[in-house]
Amino acid sequence: MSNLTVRSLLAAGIFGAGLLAGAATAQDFNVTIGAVGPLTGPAANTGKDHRQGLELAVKEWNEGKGDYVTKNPPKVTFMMEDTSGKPEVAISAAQRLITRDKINMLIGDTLHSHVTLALMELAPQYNLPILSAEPVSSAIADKVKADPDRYQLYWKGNWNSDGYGTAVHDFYTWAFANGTVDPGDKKIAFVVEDTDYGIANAEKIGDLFKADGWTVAATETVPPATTDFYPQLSKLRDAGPDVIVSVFTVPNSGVAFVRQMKEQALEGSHLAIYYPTKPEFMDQAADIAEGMYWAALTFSSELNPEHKAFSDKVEAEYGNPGTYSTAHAYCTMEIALRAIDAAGSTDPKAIAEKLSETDYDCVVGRAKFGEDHAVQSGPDFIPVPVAQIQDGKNQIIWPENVATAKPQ
Amino acid sequence: MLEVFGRHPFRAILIWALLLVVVPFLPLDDYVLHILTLFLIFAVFATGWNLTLGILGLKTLGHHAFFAIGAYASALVSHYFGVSPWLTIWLGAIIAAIAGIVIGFPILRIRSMPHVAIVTLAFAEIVRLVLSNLKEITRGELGFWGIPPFDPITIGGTTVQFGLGNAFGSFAVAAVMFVGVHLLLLMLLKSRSGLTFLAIRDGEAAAESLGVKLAAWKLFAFGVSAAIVGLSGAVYAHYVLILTPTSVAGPDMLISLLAMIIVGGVGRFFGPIYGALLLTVSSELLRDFGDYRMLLYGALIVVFVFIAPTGLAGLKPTSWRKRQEAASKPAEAT
Repeated sequence: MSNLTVRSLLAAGIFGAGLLAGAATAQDFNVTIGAVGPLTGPAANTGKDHRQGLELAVKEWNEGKGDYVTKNPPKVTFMMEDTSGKPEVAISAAQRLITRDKINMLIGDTLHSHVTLALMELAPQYNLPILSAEPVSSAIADKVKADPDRYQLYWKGNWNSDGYGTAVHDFYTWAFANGTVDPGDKKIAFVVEDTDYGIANAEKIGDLFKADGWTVAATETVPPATTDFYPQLSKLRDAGPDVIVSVFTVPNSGVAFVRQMKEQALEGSHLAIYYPTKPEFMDQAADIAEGMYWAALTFSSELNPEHKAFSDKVEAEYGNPGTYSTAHAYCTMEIALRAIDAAGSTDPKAIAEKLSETDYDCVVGRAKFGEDHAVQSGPDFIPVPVAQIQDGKNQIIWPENVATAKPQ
Repeated sequence: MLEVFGRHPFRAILIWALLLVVVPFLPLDDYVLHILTLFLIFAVFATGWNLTLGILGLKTLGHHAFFAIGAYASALVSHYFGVSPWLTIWLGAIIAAIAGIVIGFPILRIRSMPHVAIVTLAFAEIVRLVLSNLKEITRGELGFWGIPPFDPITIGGTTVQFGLGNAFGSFAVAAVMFVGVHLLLLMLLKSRSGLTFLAIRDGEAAAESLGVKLAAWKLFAFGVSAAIVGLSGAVYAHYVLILTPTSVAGPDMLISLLAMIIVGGVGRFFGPIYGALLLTVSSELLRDFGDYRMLLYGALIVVFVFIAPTGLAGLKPTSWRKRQEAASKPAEAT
């Protein structure tokens, strides 16, 4: 055998071994992702939407329909545990996923900020990348900013509370300027649920209005899932606010509030936050909420063909239409999967680094993290448009560049 | 007395202590240690509450307020003043005890148990609302974070860490609290004080006629009970490291702890321990049933209330019961 043949055989052998090794590596790259969210309790409906969105993204990824970064994406195993909306239960659930199921990444909490504030402590303790989904409280980002080294593995998959605040303030500034809404005596009032979500939004909006010379006439907090608002509405009648902002995460609260507000014939412009995103609200209250402003119409299968396609996909899979929460959870999982794919391993620091480089257009908007590890909001990122219910349907009225109708 | 403490209560505590000493040497993961830590904290909470609810016989429904007071007091002082949690947990217990004595005063005047229940429930709601509205200090429902974990301890060259993710250290703190509280409380209840509490429960008028100062003893019981519950709340705060008024003083906490006491056995010294163990562990074991978890959890409570109406601590082996029945029968002439 000539030297050339020997060298050729040797080279072919090394090349073949390399290919086999590469193939083995690609096949062996499996990741396990866990999620924790409220699958029981008052927010169980939203938790169910989150689970559908997360599962759908994993299903598509494993079936070759994902939006991959590399040619050898990992195979993904996914599991989700219930938190009941309580921090200590969430920690139990997360520790079960970490120690029993050996997850490589945690998505959690999917909804509650106060639960996320507890969960993010597990990132440094267990050297585990954690990405929360819908929580918005700025306190989470404040915690990251206070100690970025400690929370280098924690990322926040939604904008900060000030995203809503800025949008509501800017919308009204625009509405006052063009005469859509009369500022009157410049008095604003809030009726919000007694959660970090409700209170943080009220505080931010109140601060922005106060800076413009407004006074906060009342800030009424009610327990989550409240349906009796007559005491709060009576107080509001006396205070006579020109703008009323309500924030609830349970749609039944929103339905009751809007109905009772109409009964009490309160004057003043009403803007609702979050609950009109739920189909249950529109099913029950579209007629009585006619003319109401609300934020943020980030998901509308009626107005946005891309959202319609996603909603149809969810309906085909689960028998119910997709919601903003389904879409947001889907995008959160997409962001996580793409970061792991780009990292090419389950190394926590490599995943965190790729998360920091995320710049991804998903169904709810463009996801890009800021220095505080939170997804940014605004026209260039995830938009926070204000809608109005007109003839029983939602129409985007602000910002003008994405508006589908004029305000009425 | 046998009904309240069982046959060998000190021996039972010794067995619990030995079991807890063995646990860290077993091949258990952090998850199991976390569940056991929660069980120990809630067992102490339930035992403290059982002192007034079961042993003294006052139908109080507001002890989750003392849990919240102990938790927030310890967390706030350690956070804002940089005091070690090893010291602030005692401060939390003392403040909770003072709160217990304060709420004890109006209860002295109330004879009707439903009214006692409503007053204490209202007190808990006031505490929750105050904690929610003191936003500048507690951050309300936004969640009070930045609570320091217990300072590390170095023993023989090994440093023991505490707080979330440091399962062994946190378990050890909870275990020491569990054994210490139960041992001291048992010593108290096996003394004249315990007999006095039982006398008040079984017949206030009779006890008073025998010279028992009802007001003083009730206030004392409230203080001790609230201090124990406050201590468990303080340890909880430095373990979980995040507090919201709803999570520590909300109705969920009330229902969970009440279920533990009822399932374990109201008025029985070891009842709350069994109830806390059963409900804390089963809540986690049922995770394998997915969406049916909470349904099964509720059904489990109903089943145990039916099969053991006097609580798990009241269950007796059949053979023992038969022997007791035989012993209580008068001897027949032959």
